[in-house]
Amino acid sequence: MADHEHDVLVIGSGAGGGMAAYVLTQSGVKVHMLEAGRDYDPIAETPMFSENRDAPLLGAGTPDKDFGYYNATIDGGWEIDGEPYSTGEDTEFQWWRTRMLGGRTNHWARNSFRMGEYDFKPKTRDGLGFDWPMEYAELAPWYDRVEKLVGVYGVNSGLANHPDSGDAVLQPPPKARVPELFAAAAAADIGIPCVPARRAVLTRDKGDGRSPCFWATDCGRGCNIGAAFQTTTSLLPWARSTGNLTITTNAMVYEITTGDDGKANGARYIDKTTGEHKFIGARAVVLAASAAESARILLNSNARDTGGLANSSGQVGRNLMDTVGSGITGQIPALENRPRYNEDGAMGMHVYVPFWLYEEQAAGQLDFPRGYHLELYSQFSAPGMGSGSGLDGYGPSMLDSARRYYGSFIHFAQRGEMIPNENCYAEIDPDGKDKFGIPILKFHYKHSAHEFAQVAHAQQASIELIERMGGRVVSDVKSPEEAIAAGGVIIHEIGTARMGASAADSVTNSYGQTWNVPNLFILDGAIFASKAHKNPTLTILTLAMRGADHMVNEMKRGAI
Amino acid sequence: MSYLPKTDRRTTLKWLLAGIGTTPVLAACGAPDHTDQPRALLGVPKPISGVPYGADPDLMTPAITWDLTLSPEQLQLVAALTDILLPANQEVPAGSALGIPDFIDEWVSSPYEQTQDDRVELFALFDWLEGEARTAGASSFASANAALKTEILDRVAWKDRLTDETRDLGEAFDTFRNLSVSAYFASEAGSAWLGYLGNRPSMGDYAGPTQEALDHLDAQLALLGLQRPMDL
Repeated sequence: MADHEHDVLVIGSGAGGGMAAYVLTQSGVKVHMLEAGRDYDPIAETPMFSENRDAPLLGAGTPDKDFGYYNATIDGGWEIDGEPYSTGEDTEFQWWRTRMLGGRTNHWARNSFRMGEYDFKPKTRDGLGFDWPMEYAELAPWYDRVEKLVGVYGVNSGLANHPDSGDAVLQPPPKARVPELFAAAAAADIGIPCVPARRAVLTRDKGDGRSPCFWATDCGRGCNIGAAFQTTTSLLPWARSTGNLTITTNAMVYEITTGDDGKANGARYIDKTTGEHKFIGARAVVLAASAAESARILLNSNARDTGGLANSSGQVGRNLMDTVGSGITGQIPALENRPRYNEDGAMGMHVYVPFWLYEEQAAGQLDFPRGYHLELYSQFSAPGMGSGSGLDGYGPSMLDSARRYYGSFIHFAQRGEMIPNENCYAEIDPDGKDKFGIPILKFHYKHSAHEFAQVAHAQQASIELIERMGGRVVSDVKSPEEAIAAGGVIIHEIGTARMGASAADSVTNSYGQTWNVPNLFILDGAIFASKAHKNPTLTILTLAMRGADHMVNEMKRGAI
Repeated sequence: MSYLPKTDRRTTLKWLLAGIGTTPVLAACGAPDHTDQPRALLGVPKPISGVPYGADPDLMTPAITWDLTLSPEQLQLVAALTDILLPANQEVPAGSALGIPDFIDEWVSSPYEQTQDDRVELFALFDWLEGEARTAGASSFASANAALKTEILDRVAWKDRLTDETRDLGEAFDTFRNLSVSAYFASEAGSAWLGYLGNRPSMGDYAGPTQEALDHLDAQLALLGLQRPMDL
């Protein structure tokens, strides 16, 4: 029969691929995972506690390491040597890639907000974009399972469209820090909620080999005690321990192959260590290479002359979205010279501002249709490059100012929902190939008035919060068109193989199973039908768990 | 007393020993570096050599993959400048004693586009400082008396005193200040003086703010008519 020892090929080892491999191997399915980057051992390679002063250039970001020397990103970033992408006219789009085992889960912010009932039916609610082919209620128990498995801190706040988790699902959040308490006090006074954030950081020992957070070292470096969730300390080793997972790294997939029956039967890849082109067969394939890379693989696959694989709808590469991002920074005199204490905490957010105006929005009182949340950042952070910015003069008075201002700045980052539009898509660039000879992607991107109006509102809300704190805005308040982050910059790109109710206008069903190729599942951000303001990784994990579970059932009943 | 480079780990690790490939530097930096032309006032800096550290450096054993390039005269000027910018206090040694000049050298010698832009900007500042000191009769900026040094520096160090003529120099000094002060606070002594108390693990729940920090917060909130939320 099959000439391979495994059943399912999983392409990608990040949130989607990692979860798929975990679910499949737990069910006894033999999985072979292909990862384009190198192997990575977070136990040995994470620079926990390393000081900025010991890194080149104080650890500042460079084109080699955009997010700083110690950031976990390996062989990745905005640009990768020999792996270009292009952009259409008037398009500013940046494509973050992380070529390593575990992908971006090694360095993500761990913010883990559930999508809610409104988020799954946006078109029903306001007539724009597309509905998902399922209700929130369908996904709720899967969210519970994922949150329990990975470990998420937070509380049930009971707010509209910010769903509560099941009983005993969430772990206790860390106490708020002084600037967070200050912001929450101001927010309460002006009627804006400020509640514990939800992050995939353990605060309790789950007995699964990982340790709870010990309140030190930046999660972006990765976490060698496993407290900050990444697939390389959790799903991948757990899947491997079943004996059912084989991982091949440095395997740059460029094509999913199909047999005469139209079913996927394997993938072709380039072994980056030798340059050889290789084929690996499989009974079924899970594609989870990240939204844009997955679209690229489909568009480059064997049915290219008909627009790529699994693309009878023509939607592969379309509906590209990223979170709407902007930010305002304030300086708060009341926080100057405040008493010092260890403010590292869980490094990322302990509290945040969830979107609070759903009722007003539904009543037509706002000039933008979808929500956003505000992430807030302010703390006594580790000194490094930038600790000397914004100063004047020299000598003792300058140093005293620096000390006085330390920990008195607060940054509000808007993270908002974007509505898909026909001007945002990725296609194969007919004129470009990467160093492997693989056709590259060309991105097209244009925000609409909806996003700009939302940015204006978020800016105003942030300014209001800063002013209520007695502070002054220190960042340039630009027009929304200038303030909005370029496409891709928030690194939440999704939508390029969206799920839907029919093969006519979508690529997959609600399980990520492609309409055209029933044994091909897409289980990464590509399948999102809309881009809620909630950070996408938790939902990628959840869709992947549910999709892989469905795949197992389909295999059991012989449908795959 | 002249400045001697500090022989710590950061500056003794040489890129030749790091076993890193040899991407041509100019490809990474763009145009040839005209700042390496002979300088009458401050000697001749070495040309940029070495390579970017790449997208997969050893994070556990950081290494600088380029050589330091400041001329001895430039280094003396930088040392003098850091000591005016960052004088010693009871808890932190002066900038030169902390090795800040070596960090400036590391920065302007690194083969990246942004740091090479800074190199051009800072070298122009160094030349100007030196020229002004000599015009005033000193043999060098580094050896000038304190009054002359501050008199010269005052023309570029204060943002609201800049004129069209001194604006570029003022921006260069701002770059120098940002780099130097960042390195100062990142040092062990500077970090302690700033009051950073993190990067220390603790077991159990996060301790949160101290009572002293909460008392201070409550007093500030009261002045603004705000109340601390008790459920966070």
